[in-house]
Amino acid sequence: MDLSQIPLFKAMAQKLAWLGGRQTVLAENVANLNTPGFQASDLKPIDFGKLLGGEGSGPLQMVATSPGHISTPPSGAPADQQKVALQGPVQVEDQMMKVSDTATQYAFTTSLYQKQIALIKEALGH
Amino acid sequence: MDLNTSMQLAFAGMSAQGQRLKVIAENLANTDSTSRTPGGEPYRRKVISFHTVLDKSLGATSVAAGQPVTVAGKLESKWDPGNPAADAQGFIKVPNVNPVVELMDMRDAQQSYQANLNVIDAAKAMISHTLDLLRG
Repeated sequence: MDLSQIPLFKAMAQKLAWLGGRQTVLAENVANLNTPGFQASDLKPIDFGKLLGGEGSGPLQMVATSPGHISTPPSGAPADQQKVALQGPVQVEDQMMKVSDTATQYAFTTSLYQKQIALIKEALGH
Repeated sequence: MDLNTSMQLAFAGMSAQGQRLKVIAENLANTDSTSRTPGGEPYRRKVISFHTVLDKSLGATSVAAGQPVTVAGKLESKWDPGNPAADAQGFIKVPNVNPVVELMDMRDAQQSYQANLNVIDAAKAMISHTLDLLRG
């Protein structure tokens, strides 16, 4: 069984990756708190519901129907990790709030992941 | 890994703030440093400025402190004929260090350092939550 084929697990993994990416962007902002002319940014929020929706989101991919076909990797950055520039100077309070919010959401998603694994284990009779 | 990257960035931020603090300490220590020769130049205040660095190994915008730059400008003179640094008229030039400004700057550096520490704490908590997934 491949867990990543289950929409909920796939969505949770994407959410975790997004939160990790956001933490990096926030770390950039905080490290450059006192850099003159630095443009702070944040990641575009993702819609967890849309992630769960699965196939409908994202650009259409060409299907390789013959071994001679060249596989087409998705062009550009994945749509779920887009950087957006923030207006004005970096506010330390604002950044700290976002950092703790990201950490909380991460903890929430990992415990959700654990619960789902426990549910599957239960169903398997372990 | 993303979370390690954010830790590396926070470390870079902390080391930059540390260098800033070093320059502030230098300024404060030399508040009263006059010249060695009569009528010469005393100590001049130094400032440090930060700039962004594209860290290719991390794939992120890091920060680095530049070289300390001395602050130009007119120096105040003080009447102190007994001082070995005094010129023919008995005046000495005093450094352009204002302790209040330096202390403010120090507070700011301290606050930014703390913010970077918070980022490390959050990233550490996230990593440990990821490891907790293994426990099931």
